[in-house]
Amino acid sequence: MNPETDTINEALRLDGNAVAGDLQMLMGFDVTLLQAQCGHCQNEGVFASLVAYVRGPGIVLRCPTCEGLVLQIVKTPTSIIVNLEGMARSVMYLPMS
Amino acid sequence: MERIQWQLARVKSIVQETPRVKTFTLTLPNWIPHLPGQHYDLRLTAEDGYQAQRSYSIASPPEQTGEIDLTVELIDDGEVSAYLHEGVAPGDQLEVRGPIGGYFVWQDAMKHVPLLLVAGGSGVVPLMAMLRHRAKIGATNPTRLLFSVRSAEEAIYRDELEEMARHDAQFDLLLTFTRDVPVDWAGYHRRIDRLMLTEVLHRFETQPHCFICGPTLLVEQVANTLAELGLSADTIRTERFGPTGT
Ligand SMILES: Cc1cc2nc3c(=O)[nH]c(=O)nc-3n(C[C@H](O)[C@H](O)[C@H](O)COP(=O)(O)OP(=O)(O)OC[C@H]3O[C@@H](n4cnc5c(N)ncnc54)[C@H](O)[C@@H]3O)c2cc1C
Ligand SMILES: [Zn+2]
Repeated sequence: MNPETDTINEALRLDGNAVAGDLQMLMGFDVTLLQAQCGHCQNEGVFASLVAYVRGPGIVLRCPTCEGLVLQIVKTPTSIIVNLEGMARSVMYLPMS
Repeated sequence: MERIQWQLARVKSIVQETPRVKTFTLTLPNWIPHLPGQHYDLRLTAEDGYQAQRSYSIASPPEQTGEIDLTVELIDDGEVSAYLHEGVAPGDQLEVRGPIGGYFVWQDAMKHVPLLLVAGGSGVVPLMAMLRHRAKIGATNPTRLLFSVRSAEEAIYRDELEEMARHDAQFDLLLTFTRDVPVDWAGYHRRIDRLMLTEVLHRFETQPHCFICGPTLLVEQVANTLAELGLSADTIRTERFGPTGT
């Protein structure tokens, strides 16, 4: 634990809104309103409220409750790899008609 | 939701809002109507292929068609904001994609519910789009903006916000200065805290929808405090900007 890097990491922390553009290009729809359930602590919340770190080689999304890894995206020159291991499930509620 | 693609926007004009903040009006070949609160991603590409990508909120309301306003704060040693401030002139092209995001948006369906907006520094940008659109559609829901800035000269859109508050009895502007205060200042002079949020909430007769935006630590602290003060989680929407000013 290094207090200085911890503070920098805290200040650099973003959320699901910040990665919505990349994911929309990838999936073809807006993910921010998905209800995502964390595979570690089972807490559920909107995708936009996941905490995001985007300054590494890829994108890391963590659960705001338990900090468990929910989703990881790695970009290589030829591909984009999405690791969804930490997501128990995600639900898109359809607008009521 | 329409498919978004990278497109080349042209810089139509640049306005200096404060000593550290400029608004860039971009003309888009493929303009898509946005919801207030949405953002665009902007991508710079160096000659060697290196790319830097950042998000910028749309400041303009969707009524301003064919173009978007992006308001950008200059961050010391900031890669993208420094380039935009120092290396971009009207007529230049910039690569953008959007509009993005369906969560941090103020929908017309919310126009009858009281609205609490909380901003730190450039976090006011998406909230400004909400306020401008709200004025355009003539909404009369009680609305308050609690806006934390370092000093009076750093308060983005201050003239327009004060003008809005003068003309709209349902809109209050509550500024708090965290560093220097004007001599005759009678308002808040500290960081946003629990007491301040309690006082602001007391001005509402019924529970407002809340949108909080700005530097990450401010957003998290305000959201946690509002939840502790009894607002239900599904009425609080947040957007973290990362390590920006204030
Ligand atoms: C959804 C969204 C909307 C946004 N809307 C706006 C807006 O409307 N207006 C606006 O001005 N900004 C907005 N931002 C912030 C914007 O995207 C940029 O983060 C901001 O402009 C800074 O980018 P930069 O390249 O200039 O600075 P950067 O080069 O990213 O640096 C920013 C600061 O962080 C420090 N830093 C960067 N990386 C590290 C690291 N790895 N370790 C330690 N310190 C580091 C730098 O020293 C600097 O002080 C938004 C962000 C999001 C997520
Ligand atoms: Zn969890």
